[in-house]
Amino acid sequence: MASSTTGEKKILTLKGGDNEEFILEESLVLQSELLKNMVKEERVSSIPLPSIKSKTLVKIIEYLKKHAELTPSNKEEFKNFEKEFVNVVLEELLDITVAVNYLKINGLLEFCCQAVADRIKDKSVEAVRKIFRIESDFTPEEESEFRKETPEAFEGDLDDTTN
Amino acid sequence: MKLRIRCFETKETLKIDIPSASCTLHELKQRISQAIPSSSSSNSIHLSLNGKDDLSPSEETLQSFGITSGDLIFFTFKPNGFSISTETHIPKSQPIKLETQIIQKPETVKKLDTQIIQEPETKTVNSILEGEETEEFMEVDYSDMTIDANMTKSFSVPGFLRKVFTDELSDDGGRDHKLLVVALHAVFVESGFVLLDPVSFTQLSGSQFWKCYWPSGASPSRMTLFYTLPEAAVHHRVELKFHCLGKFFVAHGSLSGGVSTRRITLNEDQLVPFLNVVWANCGLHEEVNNGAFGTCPEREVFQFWRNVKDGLVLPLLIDLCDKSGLELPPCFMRLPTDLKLKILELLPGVEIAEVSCLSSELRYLASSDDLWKKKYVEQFGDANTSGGGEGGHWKDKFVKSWENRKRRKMISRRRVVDPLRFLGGPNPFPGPWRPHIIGGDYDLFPPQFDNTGNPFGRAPPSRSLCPLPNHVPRCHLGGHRSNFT
Repeated sequence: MASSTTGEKKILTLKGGDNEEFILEESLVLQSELLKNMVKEERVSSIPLPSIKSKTLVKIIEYLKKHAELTPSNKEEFKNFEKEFVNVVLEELLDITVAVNYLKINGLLEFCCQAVADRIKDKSVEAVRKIFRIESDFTPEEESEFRKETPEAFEGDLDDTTN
Repeated sequence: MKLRIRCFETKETLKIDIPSASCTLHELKQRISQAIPSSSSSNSIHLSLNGKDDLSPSEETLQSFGITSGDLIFFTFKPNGFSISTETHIPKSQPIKLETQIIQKPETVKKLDTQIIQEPETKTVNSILEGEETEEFMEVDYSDMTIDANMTKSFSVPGFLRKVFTDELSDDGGRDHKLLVVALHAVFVESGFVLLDPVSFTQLSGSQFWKCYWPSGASPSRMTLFYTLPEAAVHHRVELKFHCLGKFFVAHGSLSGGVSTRRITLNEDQLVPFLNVVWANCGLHEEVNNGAFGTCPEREVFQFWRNVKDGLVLPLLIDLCDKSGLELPPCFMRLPTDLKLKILELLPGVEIAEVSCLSSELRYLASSDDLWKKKYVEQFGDANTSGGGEGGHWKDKFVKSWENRKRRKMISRRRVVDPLRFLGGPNPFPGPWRPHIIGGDYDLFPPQFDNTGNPFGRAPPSRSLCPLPNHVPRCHLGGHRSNFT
């Protein structure tokens, strides 16, 4: 099951966290710096990735495929795909981001981080806490102190600051 | 020179000015008794630098005690005020203290459980704080920080280190690799881990750390620290071991019985001087003198914290949660520090300021000077040419430039509006003016036309009849804004 060579194309097996196996062309995984090094140095054909959930891996492989198909003519389509790609529940987005960071797929990592940052942007402290499930460990005094310190964050003065 | 004088019992802090360092203790006492209305005579005042030992004799100069400008000196009117309270109460109160610290840092722990414990625990500490003050308690006494404004400003010692350092290193600091081990311990505690007794595997509290783990003559290469999470079953633990390779200090951790090991290597020669600075500053709350060290110790410590967190603590935390079936820490906090920083970098400066109000870990993360430098350049252009002056933190510069810009903007806006003030009649420029005025934050503040503060003493019936709507909200805006600052 692990590996075989069909014609010119090398086939590689990725094993997700739940032992699910994904068979794909080796050329696809070369987008990942980590896997590239593994394939090159050790000539492995089956790579276990126990820290990545299968669900996440499916998403990432989907991206790799799309990205490999990217040509100047379908740029627009790819952009839309990217947009949809990060349009998932936060938990999943973070899982993907962590996995992408681990696999070192640089272009996608930038994009994922931006997507996470966008979810923090333009929201109140309370909203971000709720969405990201971050618990305040400040005492009430500290809390008010810090808020006083950074008034610009609470003014709602979202004037354009670029001019 | 200026000195801070703190009453040992009430913790009230005064600032007094004395002519020079050659002033004697006796003269200082006289100044204090003048400054405090209720004091009886200068002879009944006892002074101490550390809250334990009396400063004597009175004829000595302040200089001979090494007191310099800005130092903190305790005073009491009770003859044995210093020695009594420290000797009798320290052993009793210290264990309670660390417990609260662990509980005060519940970022990686389930909320419900900790909240329940937090309530009574904090109360205990508070009541102790009121009754019996020791120097060490000041470090957790936040009410104290509000008294002295510049303490919070010059927050040069990261909170996670300050708390544990003052606990564990109160008497002997740099011996062996203690400083480094304690710094590591601080990161573990900050992430929600609790230390276990190496024999009985019960949870340990504060001052027992060295009793159990560091008997005299022990070396870190022969010891194992055991950690767990408060909710985890007792047989699920993390083992932390150390060994030294020349100047490198290797810490490796694994789950008890687990196979995978996480390890980080620390350059002791490089780190210890900085940790020493931090430690020396723990009790002082003074700004670290950057000149003495060339680079900023804060940056080094931040780097250290990041390495330990990413290389050791977070992976172990996730392993342990996995094994014992606990809920993983909140999703965002689980991200490696690198990623969190990357995400912060993608946010505008104002949003970073907001993120720093979320939790203490994020606060520390968002205080990174490099991050703010980047944001400064992004927002205000070249870091070398734009204002803000030399030295200091990039965040401060950012805030300063931000406010400057806002002020400039207000002025330029006022200039646009001003001519209307002299027109008196209905707005003669309905077309070109309005969009400009309605834009920005002008329309964020609703009470434009029903504003009773308008000069006519009545609400204008309609916009077209209102002669001065354009600058009334302007004044109101100032008032509105001040609510936030």
